[in-house]
Amino acid sequence: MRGKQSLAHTSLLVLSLLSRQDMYGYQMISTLEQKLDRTFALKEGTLYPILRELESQGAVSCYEQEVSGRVRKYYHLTRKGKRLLAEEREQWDRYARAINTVLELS
Amino acid sequence: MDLYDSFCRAVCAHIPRATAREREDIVRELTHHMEDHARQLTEGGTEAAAARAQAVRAMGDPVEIGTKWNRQLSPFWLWTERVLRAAVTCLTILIAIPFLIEYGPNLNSILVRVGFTESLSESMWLTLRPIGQQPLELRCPYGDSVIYFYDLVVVQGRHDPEDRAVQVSAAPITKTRAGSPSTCPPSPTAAASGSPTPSPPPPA
Repeated sequence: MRGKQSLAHTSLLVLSLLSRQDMYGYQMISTLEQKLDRTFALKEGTLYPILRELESQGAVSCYEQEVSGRVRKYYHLTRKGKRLLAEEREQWDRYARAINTVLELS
Repeated sequence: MDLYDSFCRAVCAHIPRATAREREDIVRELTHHMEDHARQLTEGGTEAAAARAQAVRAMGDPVEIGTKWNRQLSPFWLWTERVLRAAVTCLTILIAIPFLIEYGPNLNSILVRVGFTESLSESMWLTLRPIGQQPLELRCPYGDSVIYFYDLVVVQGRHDPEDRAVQVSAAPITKTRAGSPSTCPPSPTAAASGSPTPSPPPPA
């Protein structure tokens, strides 16, 4: 359960990043580090199995593009990915509200 | 071995479901990631070797990455690739072996058959058996090569002794291998066939 939650949260972050623009792996990690201000450290290599999982779910697609003489693999959020993001976000909001309610009571 | 290579190998060692192409993609993507990270570190003032080591450490445990990655891959394509490769190999062997047995020693040879009678059909050639053989030493220039006629066999029908023919074996050879060519006989009106010749051509 814990592993599933952690994967889901990282997936949510990845989907959220890709909703703004197409990105390659390191760009996602770098952006996450800036946004999260080192709130939690993601082992960089574990991003790729997550991307692969999202790809097999049809939530992201990938394409290659040459940038400065190097072929990079970019990830793109698909329509299915957008729907998944909306669902995940809603779940997260509900979860966060519930936790906040309990914290406010204490 | 390079730090990035070692890391990628360690990851791939735990992705047995990956096809060769998927492995290449995995290695390229992980390597690019580490290179990007190391470049960012060196731009920030970190020494190159230290930056590379730090980039590898930041990737995390290669076993964990490989294991998780492997779970995302379907074994279908790997097995499809393996089965197809095995099928192509078997098919090639099945096709090649009889061909090599039949024609292997004579791939460079030409067999010309001249029938004594015009009634000899293609199927009747198969029933002929040799009744006499004569080695030849005849060279005929042809373009940049020389056609070397090296064997003459008289053959006779198994069922009808009147069915007789002469088959001449020849091989194209380069001029450097050939001596001074002899006079060419007139071109026979003959049927060419892929049947085995008596022996491969000896060196000129």
